[in-house]
Parts: sequence; C-alpha cells; structure tokens
Amino acid sequence: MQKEILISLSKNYSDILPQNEESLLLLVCLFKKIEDGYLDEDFEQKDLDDTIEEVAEFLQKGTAIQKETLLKKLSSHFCHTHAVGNKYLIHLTVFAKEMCRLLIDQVEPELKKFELYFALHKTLPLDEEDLLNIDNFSYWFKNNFLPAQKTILRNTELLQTAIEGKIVELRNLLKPEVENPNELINSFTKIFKELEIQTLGLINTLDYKNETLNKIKALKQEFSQDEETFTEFDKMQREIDWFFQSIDRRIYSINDKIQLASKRLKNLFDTLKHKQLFKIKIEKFLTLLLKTSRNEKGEILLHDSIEKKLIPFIPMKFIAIPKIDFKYLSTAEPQKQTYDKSHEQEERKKGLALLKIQESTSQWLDKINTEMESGSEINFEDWFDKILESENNLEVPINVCFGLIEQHNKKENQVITIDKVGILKVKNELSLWKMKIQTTYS
Amino acid sequence: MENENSNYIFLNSDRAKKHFADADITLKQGKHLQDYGNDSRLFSFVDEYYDKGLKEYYLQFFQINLVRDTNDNQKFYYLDFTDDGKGKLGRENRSKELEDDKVIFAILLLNIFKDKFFEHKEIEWSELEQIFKESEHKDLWQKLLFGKVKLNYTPVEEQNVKDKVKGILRDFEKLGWVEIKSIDEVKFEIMPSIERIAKLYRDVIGNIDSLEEYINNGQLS
Repeated sequence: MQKEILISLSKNYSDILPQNEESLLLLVCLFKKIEDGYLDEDFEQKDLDDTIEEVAEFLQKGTAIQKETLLKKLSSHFCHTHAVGNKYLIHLTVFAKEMCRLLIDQVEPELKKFELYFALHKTLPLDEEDLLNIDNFSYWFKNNFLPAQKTILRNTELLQTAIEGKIVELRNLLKPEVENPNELINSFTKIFKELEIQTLGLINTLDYKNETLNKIKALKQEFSQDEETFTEFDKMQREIDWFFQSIDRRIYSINDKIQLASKRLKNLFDTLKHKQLFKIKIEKFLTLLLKTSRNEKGEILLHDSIEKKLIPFIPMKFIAIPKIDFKYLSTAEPQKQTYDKSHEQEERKKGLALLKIQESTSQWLDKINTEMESGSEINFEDWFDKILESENNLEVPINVCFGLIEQHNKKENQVITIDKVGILKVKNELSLWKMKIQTTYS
Repeated sequence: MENENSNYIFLNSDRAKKHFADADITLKQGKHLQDYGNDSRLFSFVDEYYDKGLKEYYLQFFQINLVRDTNDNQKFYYLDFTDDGKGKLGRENRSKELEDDKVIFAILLLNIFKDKFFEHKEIEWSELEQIFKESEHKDLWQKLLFGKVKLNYTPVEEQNVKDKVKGILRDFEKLGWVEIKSIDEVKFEIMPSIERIAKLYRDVIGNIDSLEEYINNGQLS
C-alpha cells in the first residue's frame, strides 16, 4: 500500500505541487482575493489574467510568465474550469484552498491564533454526558479528541515557530549595524508582551488539560467492570495521556523561551551600547586568534604577541592506595615454591660446562686465526692434539674444527685442503682426515 | 565566646564547619563557584560570608583576591591574583598557564554565550561542527583543528578533533566554565563564569584594534 502511494506520488509530483514561484504566488493571490471578497468563488478568465499580471509585476518578470503553460500545469489539481452559458468560469479546488491556508499560516502566523486555551476549549469539551458510558466516551474520543489533537498540535507548532523566529531576529539587536536600536527594542518588547499574554493562555491550557485528564482518569473504576470495556477505555486513556504529556513538554519549552527572551529584553535597554561594543570586540578577538594561531604537529599555538595568562590552580594529587577487599583476603602464609636443589645444581653445572666449552673454542679459534694471519699453514691434526691435550675435552677440538670450516665459508681468502688420508688417533679411538688451512693473498 | 574570631566572622559559623574546607579546596583548584548543580551549597556559603571576613581571609593569608563577579545577572566567585603578585599561590604547582587551544575555545564559547543572549546556553556537537565547517571562518577553524583545509576528512581525523574538543570541555568543566550534559554526544551548557576569560584578556579585548594593527604590521615587515 505504502509503495503504491510512493509510486503514485513520484509519477505526479510535478503536477501535485506548484513547481515554481509564479504558480505558488498565483494560487495564494487567487485564494486571498476570494477570501477577502474581491473575487467570487467562481471567477472568470479575465480575473485570472489580471492576477497573473499582478504576480508578474511583483516578480518583475514582465512577459516572461508563460500563461498557457502555467494554466495547463495548475488545471489538473489546483483549479477547474466549467462552462456556464456562454462563459467559462474557474474555481480553486478544495486541495488548492487548503494548501494556500496552510502556507499562509506557516509564513505569517497570527499571534491571536495561538491562544491554545481557546483552541482546547473549543475543540475538547468533555461534558458529563460523554462520561456516562463507554459508547459515549468512545464517541467523544473519535469525534472530539482525535480531530482536536490536530488543531492543538498545529497551534502549538505555530506558536513555537513564531517564537523561535522572533528570537533569531532578536540576535540582530547585538549587531553593530542596527540603526536606532532603542526603537527596535521597543517593537520587540511589544511582540514579546503579546507572547507573554500567550503564556498566561498556556498556563490556563495546562489547567484545562489537567482537568480533562482527571475527569477521564476518574472513570477507570467505572469502566473496569468487564474486561472488554476496560481494555477499550484503557487504550483510549493511554492515548490521551501520551498526547497531553507531549503537549506539556512543548508548552513548557515555549514558555521558558518566552520568559527568558522577555527578561533579557528588559535588561537590554540600559546596557545596549556597552554590550554591542563588547560583543563586537570579542568577535574581533576570536577572528584575530583564528587568523594568527597555527597548528604545529597537531598542537594549536597562539601568536607570540598574545600573552599567556595564569590562573590560580592547585592540582589535586591522587595517591594510589592498594585496593584490598578484606572479605577475600587470605590470612594464611604465602605458599612457598618447592624445587629440587640437586637438580638445580646439576643444571647449573651443565650450563657452566657448556659455557666453558664455548669460551675455550672461541680462544682456540682466535689463536689459530692469529697464526694464520702471520702466514703460517695450519695442519689441523697438530692443533687437534694440542687442543685435546690442553682442554682434556674432545668437544673443544671438534667445535674448533667446525668453527674453522664455518669461518672459511664466510671468508674468500682462506683455503681449506682436505686429503682423505685417515689419521688414527689411538688414544680416543678417533680417526681424522688430513686438513690444511691457509690464507691466500690475491 | 572568647574563642570567637571577630575579624573572620565566617569562621564562627556552623556552615563554615560544613562547607568552608570544600569551598576553599574547590576555589584553590581553580573552579568558579556559581549557583548551579552540586556547587550550589558551596556557592551559597561563599555568597553569605563573602563580606563577613571570607574575602579578607584570602587577602590576609594568601595575598589573593576572592572575586565576586556577575554575568547575565548571575553571580560567581573565583580566586584571582592581585595586582601586586601571586601571593602564596606564586610557588610552583600553585598556578597554571591557560593552554593556547583552551584560550581559543574559551573565547569561542564566550562569543556563543553572548550570541545566545536571548536563549538557553546549551550547545550540541552539531552546533560546533557547523561553526567549524560552515561558518564564515570555516577555513581558519579547519586549518587550526585539522592542520589543513580539505573537502572531506577521514573518520579518524574527525574523531581526533572531537576528542580534542572533549578534552578541552572536561578541563573547562573543572574550572566551572561549562557543565557537561553528555560527553559522548558533546552536549554541554556554557556557564556565566565563562566571562572570566574576558576578564583575563580584558586588556587585549579592549585594545583589539591596536593589537590587530601591530600583528599585521609585524607580518608585513
């Protein structure tokens, strides 16, 4: 269903809404003329032509308005033509009139219309007869309350829009180019006096609304006899309650704004010049700060000419106190770690022995390297015996052997020659190949 | 009776026993006391005893002024240095320099406060964003906040600026210049005591045209 509406609107939106300024103004002009009695409900083509000319003159468009196109566009939804004898008469559609009424209300709300109290009184009377039974109450709900909701909301919205508009205009009072500000303040004071009168109306409205709501709430007992009646009543009461609450909020907010602005206006008279001047200077200062400050690596810095200011400030020092929840605090002795001391010593010995081997390997490698650098040829089997004898640990000469081979891989000027001639080392039941190392100089 | 202090009448009161220590600590932490929220009781105490020895007390023992000021018809109190110096608050860690970014933001908030002369002074992030991105000085704001002017900023850049503003607001709340309603939504109310920034820079604001000329000439030469 919703989709169908959207499709229909998207197809017709250019016809259903006035598409330009001249169409809109023409419709409103015709509506106002009819309402003020200058035109009959059914008017003639000449009246339409005259109104188009008036709009063209107002817009200073001269002949730029395309009469034919304009009329064609408006003829589908906004005005209809019918023949009466040999004349053609035109009338605005109900849709066009309603639209014009809403538009005028929106742009030029009349303060007198905002007397919500009267709006409520007129639209929301709750007589004793309405409360007699659920049918009567339901009738009141459908025929009085629901339509009244719209009127009340509309009045509230118009009042809110009007006040916000006036408050925005009030800001101009603090601007430097205002001529004769005292007179301007006078005119605003007059407007806000009228708004203050509306505030009194708002207070009456709240009272009247509370009275209505209390009457309805008092019915609860009466309608709680059977479930169906109660459910129906409860649903209506909730809706009424919700609506009044939302109206309450809006009315309080409007009232606050009126009160604040009225109070300020009264204070503005004496200090206007000073306030105006001071405000302008602050604005200038802000602009100067923005123009002369800079952002350096994410840090905002003021121009050097603007002095830094100190303020008294003793910082609060927070001392971190351990957070202990005594409920869970155990009073037992801390658990001691158990470990095997002899195992630890053995591990330590192993570590030291490994370290000793590494240290000795490194020392022997240094010695051999020094020897090689002096140009001597290294016969590893001699060194092997020497190392083994000195260290009494077979791992050291073997590590030295690997060290030399690794070293050779990294250096281009060392040559290792290995003759696959076995040399038997009886002592350790070990056999070696004959390995020579020599440094070459190219 | 013989213990009663005739110079500092406030010390004899029961309210002093209740509120003096808190008011004193709050004021020394740089806060501006006003009739608002949790500070109302402290404000009321200071307001009652200001002329009954409290002002004298600060002048005598700390050589600083307890200032009574008003803005927008609302009173507020704060400690300030005298023309002769910083008194007992002259030592290290007893005063602080207002940071550069905070000066700019305080002047911005003061300007908004004056703009909203006829309205409530509650501000939301969207209003600040509108100033940074759509106002007359949007380019200057963006250059300062983002470091450069671009059509669109990355979410990280946006968040960084928002966080920076949040940090400044938190510090301003400690001074009593704003009342934060929701830090996540950056919703806050500017307090009348924001006027203090105008007092701090009154000499600059009063001579703004000369300063502008001086800076412009300096940049030219």
